[in-house]
Amino acid sequence: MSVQLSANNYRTPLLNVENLSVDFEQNGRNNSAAESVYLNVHAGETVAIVGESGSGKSATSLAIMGLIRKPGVLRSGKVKLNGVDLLALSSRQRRRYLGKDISMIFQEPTVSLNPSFTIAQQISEALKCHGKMTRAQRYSRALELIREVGITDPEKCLQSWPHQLSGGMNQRVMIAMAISCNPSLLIADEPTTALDVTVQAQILNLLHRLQQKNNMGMIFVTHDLSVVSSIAHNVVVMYAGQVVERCSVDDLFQCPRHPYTEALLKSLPAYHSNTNKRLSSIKGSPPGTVESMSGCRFYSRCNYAKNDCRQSTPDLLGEPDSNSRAVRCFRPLKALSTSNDRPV
Amino acid sequence: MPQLLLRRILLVIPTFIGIVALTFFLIRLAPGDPILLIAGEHGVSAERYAELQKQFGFDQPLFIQFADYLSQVLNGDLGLSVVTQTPVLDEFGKLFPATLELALIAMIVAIAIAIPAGVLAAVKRNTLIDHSITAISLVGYSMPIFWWALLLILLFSVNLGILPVAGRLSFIYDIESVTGFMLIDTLLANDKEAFIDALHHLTLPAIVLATIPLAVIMRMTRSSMLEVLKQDYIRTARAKGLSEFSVIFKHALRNALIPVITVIGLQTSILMTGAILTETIFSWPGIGKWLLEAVYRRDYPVVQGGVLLIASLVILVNMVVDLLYVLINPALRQK
Repeated sequence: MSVQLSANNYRTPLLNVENLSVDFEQNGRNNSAAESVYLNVHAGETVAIVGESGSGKSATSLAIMGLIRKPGVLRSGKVKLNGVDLLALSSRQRRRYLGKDISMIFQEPTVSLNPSFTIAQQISEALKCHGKMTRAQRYSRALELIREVGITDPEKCLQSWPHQLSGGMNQRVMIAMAISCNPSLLIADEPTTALDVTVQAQILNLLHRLQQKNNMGMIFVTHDLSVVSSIAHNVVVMYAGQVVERCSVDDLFQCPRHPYTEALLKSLPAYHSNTNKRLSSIKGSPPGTVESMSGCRFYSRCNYAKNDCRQSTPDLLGEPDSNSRAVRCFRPLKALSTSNDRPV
Repeated sequence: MPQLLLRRILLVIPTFIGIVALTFFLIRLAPGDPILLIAGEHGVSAERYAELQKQFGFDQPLFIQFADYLSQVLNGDLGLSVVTQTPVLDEFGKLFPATLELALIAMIVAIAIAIPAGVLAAVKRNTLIDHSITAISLVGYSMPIFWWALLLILLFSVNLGILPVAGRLSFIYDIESVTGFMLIDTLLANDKEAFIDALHHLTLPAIVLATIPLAVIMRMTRSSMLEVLKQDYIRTARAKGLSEFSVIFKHALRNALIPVITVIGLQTSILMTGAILTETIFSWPGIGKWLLEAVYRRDYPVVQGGVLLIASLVILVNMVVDLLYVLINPALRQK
């Protein structure tokens, strides 16, 4: 994996996100949801965006798709897919890429499918939108896609309505729909959060297989670090709208450098851990609004905070436009302080 | 689906009997006597009164009268009008097309304006467009129909003189009644001028009658669309790269219409009966006016029969709405 990674660094990335900022307007005030996010995804690579609820991971992924709607506002940023800045396009022009070159699956599959249309209608709509196929061709392609995502009895599934299928089935349908036009990038926004654990594993395997087959780039948004370890190549850790650490998945688990990342890892239940030990959690809660904050946003919850952390804001150090390691901390950690709790 | 239909039809039977009983006893609870009302100021002798009572069957005990009436109704006979001595069903048949024509046109106008306006208000939420549409809808809903009709008459008939005040057709035209729908009859008679005249007569009553349903449907469409536009599947539709038109009119409106259809059904039922006021103001020769006069004259068979027929229509409309509801909502189709 590391070999592939270093090779990746010299290739032009499939997706290049620069300085992406999203605000939410609330009661006349702007709350920053994501601030100056830099991100690269190469073909065949999975980048996980990790963070708590409200850390800006969903806002970032929606902004990449150009799907930020009011009260959300895109403040700045470039999203270059194969060199084309999607955000600079008009919404009409951008639609040509959505669902075709870049597509997305969501957290709640059952409510992400339209209840008034059959599965066949919804899949073939995506095909109709981006290609010239006859009705029969669309149907056979839909059948092929449904088989591809591992649904037994594809004919019956195509005739079904979303409410007749389980959450796992619906997520497979969502995936079939998302890959229908062979996108080069798939954004998965917590695709397994609403599913139970066995189904979750199946969906992850499916995504992994499809990715390898089509050499697809993937952004995987999640708050679940065990999912990250099984699917991601590179990880972006977000906290309160900012990227606080960016590294390879091995580095993330072996030597996190940001105190927040370390705290996240410590709060994972480990497979071989001492059962008498209380699982650690991060004290406090993320800041609701960050506008009036000065200094590091993690300051109040950080175990290593010093006075200067409160006074000035740390920058994301490293090269902001590459996937090499970067950390937003004045005193980045050297190694994991408690090594016995490392997850497998 | 056929099972559902059957169940709905079977449920209608007790409703019918209930309606018959209710109108039968309610109208008899009201003070006044049809025979005395027909006799007028001069009154009637005691012998003649008893004779007439016997003729109409009013001398029997109330429950016998009711049983007689019920068996008569079940045989499809609604009896004769006390006043005109013509069958209630015939009178209804003659007047109903006028009401239906007015109600249908009003409903078409209401739906044609309300749904696009409601969608527009939802899409342009919290803009001037939205606020104007919502304000107009509120005014429409709160406006007393009587006053609104008079205002329109004052403007279009009295001041501008471009629309007639009353009736369905000017007296100069003589159109044979084939369907009872003036617009269709004038076309069948191939009389273009009469058609335009009929359209002119229809305009003001239709606007007045459409006002409340328009306001109600518009508000419902707006709020239902707002609800639907927040749903995740709308985001999915956008993520697929569909055009905004397709997202709104295909993915959102289809789901938003479910509650709107219920409201349309309810409003249609109300129109069937609610036309009374409008028909009275515009002297529209429909069942609303007919029924109102029957109540004044205590014409028991007409009131009972008229109410029963209107109730059947309401039941029919509700049944159609239920079926539509199931057709448009796949989740219900399974049950």
